[in-house]
Amino acid sequence: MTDDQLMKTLADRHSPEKSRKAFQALFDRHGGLVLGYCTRILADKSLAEDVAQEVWMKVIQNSDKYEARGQLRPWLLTLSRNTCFNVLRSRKSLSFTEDLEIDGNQLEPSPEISANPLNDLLVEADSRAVRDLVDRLPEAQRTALSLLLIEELSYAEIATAMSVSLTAVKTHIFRARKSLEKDLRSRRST
Amino acid sequence: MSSWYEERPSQEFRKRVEHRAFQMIDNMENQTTQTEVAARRASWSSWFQVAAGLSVATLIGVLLARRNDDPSETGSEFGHLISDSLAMDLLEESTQSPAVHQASNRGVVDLDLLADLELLESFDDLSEISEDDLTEEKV
Repeated sequence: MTDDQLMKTLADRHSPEKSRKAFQALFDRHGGLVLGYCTRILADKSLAEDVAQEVWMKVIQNSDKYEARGQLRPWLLTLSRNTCFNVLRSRKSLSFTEDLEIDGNQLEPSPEISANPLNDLLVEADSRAVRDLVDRLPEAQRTALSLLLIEELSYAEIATAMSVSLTAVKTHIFRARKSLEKDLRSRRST
Repeated sequence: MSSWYEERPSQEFRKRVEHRAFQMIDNMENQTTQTEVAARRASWSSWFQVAAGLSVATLIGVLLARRNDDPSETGSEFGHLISDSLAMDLLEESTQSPAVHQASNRGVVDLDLLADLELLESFDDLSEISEDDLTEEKV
C-alpha cells in the first residue's frame, strides 16, 4: 500500500482495526524520520521522543485533512517542525537571533562548501558521528541546517519558518556548514 | 535507515506511541459513532415534529369545517356575530359619513319626511276628537 492509501485507511473512523494496522505501517516507514528530525531540531533525545509522539497523535487527528498527493514526507516534516517550534516557544528557548556579525560577501556558498560536498560528507561519514556533530551546533544553526538538509526548504522558506531575515538564515547555514565540514574532514583524516 | 538524520525508534518508544495511538483511534471511532447516532436521532425527531405539526393542523382544519357546516355549533355563531358586528359598523359608518352631515348642515329638508310628520300631527288631532264631534251633522 502507498502512503496515501495508508493515510486514507487511517482516516476511516469506522474501522479501527484497519486504522491501527495502517498506523503501524506508517510508523514503520516514517517513525525514524519523524524522531530523527525532532532530535536534530531539539538536540534532546528524551524531549524529541515526547514531541515525536505528539506528532504521531496529530497525524491521526488530521489524517482526514491530509490531501493525498504523494506528499506525506513533507507533510510529516512540516508537522514535526511546527510541533518542535511550539515546544521550544513554550519553553521560551526559541531564539534564533545570535551574534550574526559576518561579512555579507562570505555568505554566498563557495564550491567547497556547497550542499553536495556537504551531503557527500554526511553520507560517507558515520551517521552517529554526524548526528552528534549536528546536535552540538548552536540551536539556530542546527535548526536552519536541518530545515535545509532534511526538509529541503529554500532559504526564503527557512527565513519564514524561523521568523528571521534571509541574511540571518544564510549566516546560520554558512557557519553550520563550515563547522561541520571542518569536524568531518578532521575525523576522516584521523 | 536511509538517511544520516533518521533515528531508529526504540521498542519502548514504539510501544508507547502505539498505545496512545490505538487509544486515540478507538476514541475517535466512538465519537464518530456517537455523532452519527445523535445526528440520526435529530433527523428522525425533526421528521416526527413536522408530521405532528401537520396532523394537528389537519385536525383543526377538519373541526373548523364541521363547525361551519352546523349552525348550532359555537363556531358558526361566532361567524354570525362577526357578520352582525361588521354590518353594524358599516351602517354606523354610512350614517356618520360626511355626505350625510353636509346635507343636514345645509338645511336640506326631506319633504317626504315632513309630510309624514304632518300626517302624524293630524292623527294627534284626531285623537282629541270627541264622540260629539262625530255626529252626522258635524261630519
